Amino acid sequence: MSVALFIPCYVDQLYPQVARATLAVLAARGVTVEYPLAQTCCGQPMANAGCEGDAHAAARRFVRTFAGYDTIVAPSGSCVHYVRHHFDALPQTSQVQHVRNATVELSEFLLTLPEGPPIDFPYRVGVHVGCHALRGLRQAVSSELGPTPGGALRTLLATLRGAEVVALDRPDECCGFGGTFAVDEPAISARMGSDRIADHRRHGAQVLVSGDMSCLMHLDGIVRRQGAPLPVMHIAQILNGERP
Amino acid sequence: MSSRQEILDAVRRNRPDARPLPDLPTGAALPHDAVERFAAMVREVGGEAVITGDVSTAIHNRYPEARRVISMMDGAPFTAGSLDGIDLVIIRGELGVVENGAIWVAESAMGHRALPFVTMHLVLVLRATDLVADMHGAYAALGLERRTPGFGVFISGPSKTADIERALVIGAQGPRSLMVVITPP
Amino acid sequence: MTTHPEAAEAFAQDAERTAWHDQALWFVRAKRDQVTRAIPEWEALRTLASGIKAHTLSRLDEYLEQFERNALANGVVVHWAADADEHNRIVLGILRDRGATRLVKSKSMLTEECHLNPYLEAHGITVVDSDLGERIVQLGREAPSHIVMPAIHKRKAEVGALFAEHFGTSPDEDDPGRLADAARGPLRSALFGADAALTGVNFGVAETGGIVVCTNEGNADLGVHLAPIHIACMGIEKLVPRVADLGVFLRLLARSATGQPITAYSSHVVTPRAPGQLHFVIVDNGRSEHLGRPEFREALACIRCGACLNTCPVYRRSGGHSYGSTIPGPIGAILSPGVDLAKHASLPFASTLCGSCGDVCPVKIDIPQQLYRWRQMVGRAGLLPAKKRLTMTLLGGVFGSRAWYEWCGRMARVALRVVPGWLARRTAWGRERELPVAPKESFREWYQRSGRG
Repeated sequence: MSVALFIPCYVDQLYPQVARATLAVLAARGVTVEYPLAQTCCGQPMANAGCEGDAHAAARRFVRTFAGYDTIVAPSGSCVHYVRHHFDALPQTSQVQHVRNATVELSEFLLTLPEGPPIDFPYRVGVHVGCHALRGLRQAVSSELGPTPGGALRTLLATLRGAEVVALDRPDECCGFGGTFAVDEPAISARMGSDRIADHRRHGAQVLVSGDMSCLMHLDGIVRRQGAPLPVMHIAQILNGERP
Repeated sequence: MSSRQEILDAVRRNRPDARPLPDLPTGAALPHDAVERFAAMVREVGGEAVITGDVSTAIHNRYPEARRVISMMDGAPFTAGSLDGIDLVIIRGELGVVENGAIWVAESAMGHRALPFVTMHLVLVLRATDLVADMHGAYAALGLERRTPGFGVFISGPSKTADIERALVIGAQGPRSLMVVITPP
Repeated sequence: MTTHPEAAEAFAQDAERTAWHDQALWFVRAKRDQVTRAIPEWEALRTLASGIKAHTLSRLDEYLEQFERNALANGVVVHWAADADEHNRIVLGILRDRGATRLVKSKSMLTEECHLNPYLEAHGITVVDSDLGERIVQLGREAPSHIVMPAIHKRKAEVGALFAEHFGTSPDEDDPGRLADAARGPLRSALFGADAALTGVNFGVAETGGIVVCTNEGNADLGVHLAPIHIACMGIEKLVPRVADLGVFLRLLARSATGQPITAYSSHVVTPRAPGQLHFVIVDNGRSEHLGRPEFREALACIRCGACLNTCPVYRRSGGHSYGSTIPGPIGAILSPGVDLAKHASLPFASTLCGSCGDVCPVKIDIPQQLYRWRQMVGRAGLLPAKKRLTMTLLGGVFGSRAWYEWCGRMARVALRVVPGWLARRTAWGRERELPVAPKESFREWYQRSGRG
C-alpha cells in the first residue's frame, strides 16, 4: 500500500516540527510514507472565504499530486474535511473521487495501525477536538448529540501512561479560529479563544492537545498574549515522545 | 392576478420533486408507574399534583381563600358574568401526557375559551385512566382529524415567563398556579 | 451600513454583558441537551420532522389549498399576502372594517419581518405586544434580539429603568419576579380592553384547517379569547399535513427552544369563537422564491425554535442585534441573504462553521453547509470586501504553483521574524493574538535537506 503524507500549508511553513513528528510516528508504526513535493494546499482558505473559484487551482494540484497513492494521511481534521466534503465542487472524475475517499486524518489512521511504543506523559491534558474533525468528520460524538464524546483523539490519549484528560464545562465549544473568521471578526474570535482557554485553565489543564494545528495556532497566540504559560501540542508530537 | 393565485403558482413552479410523507409513531406503551410519573412531570413544569378521589376537599385545602370560584365540571356553558376577577376555575381535563405533564382541554369542557387563562388559579381534574405516554399517543387517542373541536389546548403547568434575565417567574399574564387533581380509578 | 463584525465588536466591548449573555444562552443550550437525552428516540424524531417538512414543501401548493379549503369550511376568513406591504394593508383593513383601534399582539416573527407595528401605529392603531419580552423591547423602542427570548440582551436593571418610566415602579427595582408582576397588571388591562388580537402561527394543519400557537405566558390565548377579532398571520412554510404530525413537532419544539418538555400552552384554534371573527393571513414575502433555490430551500423547514442561536458561539458573544436582520443567529444568516444578499453579505461569514447549529436543529437543516454555500454566492456576486477578494485571488495563484508557494512561504516566514511588535499589533490577527513564531526552515526544506525528497 502506498501512503502519501499531506502536510497543510501553514504546518509546512510554521510548524515543521509537527510534520516531522507525524513522519516519525508513522515510521515507528512501520508505515513508510512519501511526501510529494508538488503539494501546496487543499484550497480551504479561499473557499471558506467565499472564493471557491480561487481554490480550484490548489484543489486540482492536490488531486494531481495524490491521485496515485492508496492512502493520503494528513495531520489536520479540517483539511481532510475540506477534501472529503468540498471537493464536490470539482468535476467528479475517478481521480477526484479517489482522493476524496482516500484522504484520512492522522489520528483515525493511527487507530488502524498496531500500537506504537509505550509513552509516558504525566500531565493533565486539555483536549480540543477541532470542530471539523468533530462535527464534520464525526470523529467523536458532539455534545449536542450525546454525553460521551469518545473519538480517535481521546482513544490515542488513553494509551499514554500518566496522562489525565480534564473534564471541561463546555466539552467541545469552538475555539473561535474559523479560518478567515479569525481576521474577519477578531474581537469575537479572540473572545471565543480566551473563553476556551479559561475553561481549560479552570480545570487544571497543563497542556492543550489537538489534532488541528490551526486551532492551536490561534489558542497559542492568545495564551502568549495573556503572558501566562499553557503549552499547546499536536497529538503527533505527544505520540512522538515529546514533552511540553 | 390575485395574490392567492400568484403565490400558489410560484410555489407550484418552485417546489422540489415529490418527497414521501413519513409514517408516524403510534406512541410508546404506558409505563406501569404512569400516574406517579405524570404527577412528577406536572410538578417539574411548575404545577401541583394531587392524587385523590376527594376532589372538593383537595381544592378547598389548597385554595381556602378563593372567593369567586367557577366550576365547569358539569360541562355547562359559562354564563356567570365577567371574565375578570375570577379567583379559581375548575375544569375537567380530557387526557394527560406522561412525558410532559400536558393536559388536553377541549372547548366543550371549558364553558368559555378564555376561562383557563383569565383565572387567577386553575384546577384541572383528570382521571388516572386518561393518561397516555407521549404526544403521539395523545394525538392518536384524541383523533382530532375526525372530530375537531373549535378550540383545544394542551396545558402544561401555570403561566410562566423567563423574559427578564432568564429568571423563571410563575404567573405571567395567566394563572399564577395550576393544580392537577388526579382521580384514581 | 453596519456589518456584522462592526456591530459584534461594539456589543463585545462590554465584556461583562457579553459574558452574561454567553452564559445565559449556554445555560439554555445545556438544558436542551439534558431534556433531549431523556428522549431515547430524539435523533429519529429529528429525522422524522425533517422528512415531514421536506414532503410538505414538495407539495406545498396542494397543502395550502387544502388548508384554505378546510379553514373556509370552519368559518375562517382567509387572506393571501404576496409581500410585507400587502400583509400590513390586509391587517389594517380588517381592523378598520370593525373600527378596531386597540390591538394586542402575541409574539410573531413574521410581523416583525413585515414591520407591522410601525405601519399600524402610523395609521392610528395602538399596538401592545403582550409577550413580556416583546413588551420590554417595544417599550425600549428596539427590535427583538432573539426569536424566542426577545429581550435576552437586556439586563434586569435596564428593564427596571424602563418599567420605572412606564409602569411607575421604583427606579431601583431589579427583581425579575417583582418586575414581571408589575407588568402583569398593565398587560392584562390591555388584553381585556383590546378590540382585536393578533398572533403568529407555529403550525398550520392542512388536514383540519386549524392553527397551533405555542406560548408560556398564556398571552396569546388571553388576547384571542377575549377580543372579538383574532388575526393569525402565517408564513406559507408553516404547514404540516396531518394533525398527528404535531405529535412530532411539539415534542421537538420546546425541548429545542428552552429545554422545556412542552410550552405551557399549545393552543389549537380551528373555528372562530362565537361570537367573533377569525382571520388567517397567509404570507409569502419571498418564501416561494426561496423554495425555488434548490441549494437553500431546506431552510424553509425552520420551526423557529432558536436552538441554533443559543448554541452559536458567535451569536452568544455578539448579540442578536449585530445581525441587522429580523431573524438573527445562524438561521437568520442563511435566510436573510435570500431576501437581500447585498445588505446581508457579511452574515454568512459571521460563523466559524463549527457546525453546532446543525447538530441542535430539530428539523436537521444543514446550516453550516448553507452558510458555506451562501459564502460562495456572496463571492460570485462580487460582494466581498475588495481587500479580501484580492487576497484570495493572490492566494489562489500562490497555491496553484509549487514555486510560488515555496517562495511566498519563505518570504512570509522572514516577514514574521522581522515584523516589529507594534506593527504586528496593528494587524487583524495581532490585535488580539501573538503571531506564530516562524521557523527558519519549512518542513519541505528539511525534508529535502535530509535527503528524503
